[in-house]
Amino acid sequence: MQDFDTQAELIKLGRLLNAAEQDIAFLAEARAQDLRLLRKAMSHSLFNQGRKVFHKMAMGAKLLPHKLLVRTTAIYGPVLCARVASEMDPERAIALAVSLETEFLADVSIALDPESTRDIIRGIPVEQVIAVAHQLLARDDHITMARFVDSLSDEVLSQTLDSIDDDAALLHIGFFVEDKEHLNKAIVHVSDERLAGMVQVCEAQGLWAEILSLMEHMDQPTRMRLANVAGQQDEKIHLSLLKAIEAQDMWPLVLDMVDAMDEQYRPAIANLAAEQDDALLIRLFEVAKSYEMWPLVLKVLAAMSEQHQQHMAHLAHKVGENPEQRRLLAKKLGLLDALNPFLETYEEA
Amino acid sequence: MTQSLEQALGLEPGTLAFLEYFSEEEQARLLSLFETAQTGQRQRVDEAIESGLQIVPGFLRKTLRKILGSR
Repeated sequence: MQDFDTQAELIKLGRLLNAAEQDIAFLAEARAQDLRLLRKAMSHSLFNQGRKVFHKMAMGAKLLPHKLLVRTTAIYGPVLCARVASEMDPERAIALAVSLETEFLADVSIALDPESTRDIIRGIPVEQVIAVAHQLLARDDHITMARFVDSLSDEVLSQTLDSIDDDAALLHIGFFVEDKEHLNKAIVHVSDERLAGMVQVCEAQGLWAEILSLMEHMDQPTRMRLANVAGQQDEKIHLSLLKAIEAQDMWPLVLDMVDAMDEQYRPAIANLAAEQDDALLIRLFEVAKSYEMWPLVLKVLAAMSEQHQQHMAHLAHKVGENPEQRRLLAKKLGLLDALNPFLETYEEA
Repeated sequence: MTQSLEQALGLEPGTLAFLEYFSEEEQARLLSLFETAQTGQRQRVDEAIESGLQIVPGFLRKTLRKILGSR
């Protein structure tokens, strides 16, 4: 299965180093947390480079009157301003930020180290945060936006996300956010209509990986809400999800989603899955074995029609599992009756 | 080789132990990418400082450069 957190880390590392995707492709085997450690160490080192100079400049900036300081920013440009800001007294830096044009501030935010400027970011008025967010959105700069999610307060984050109408952009930002728990606090307030919009955009723009990787980090009530919204969608959307499983090997994440949805929504997606290529269905059993996900797979099977269950039983036999073990597990899960056609055919096969 | 990258990043030996799973050539490539990023950033900052100094009278520029230690 693809690790989407690793994928997000690789993209962020590539951007930090200004490296092409193929230059760091060899790191795809690394765990996301290791890549995060590497990226943070590199980022810290790069941001600390020349720090003494920036500190001296910040000290010099103290002597300048506010208006002159604002004019100086245009001369020095966003990269240098971002570096000097991290050495400035936060109150002065906030006052300066408030006086800057949104476009310039967006340029500065790209070069800013959110970790060392957290106090400054948190002091900027929400209206200005929203304006900068929209400027970055217009540039499709989801990585910079995601970096700032970690630094914004819950309230400012919620207001900023509410101001973004583009559901696809929300998913792109979520994909790159490091502190998914923090993002989750904002998503808790997102309406079911908005969640439905996010699910529908997955079909339209092929963003299933983004939403499923985000779902992995959601709290249980929000996961259930999103899973139910996905379950309520039409066949076209469910089919798009199943095609994405095939292309991106996402059965484990989809099983988690089906598990989180109400039983009433499972048959539609389970039966549609049973009508797909055998290769996809055999992969389901392989995933059950490799990731010890038999309980979730049995729940999906229990939601299928009798005819589909029998077809699945023949395929399951090819994977060579012990039928008695499956019967015991089904009994333990209280799915024995629902799985009867599957288990009987399984044993006969 | 892992040690070289750790040294370049000012990290304790073993912090990036996971890099030992990659070949020496891959580790060298990573170090080279980091060094290129460092150089690029230094150039961008130097250019920004230099452009800022252009508004200062010539006789002060040299002194300011010395104070900032930028070049």
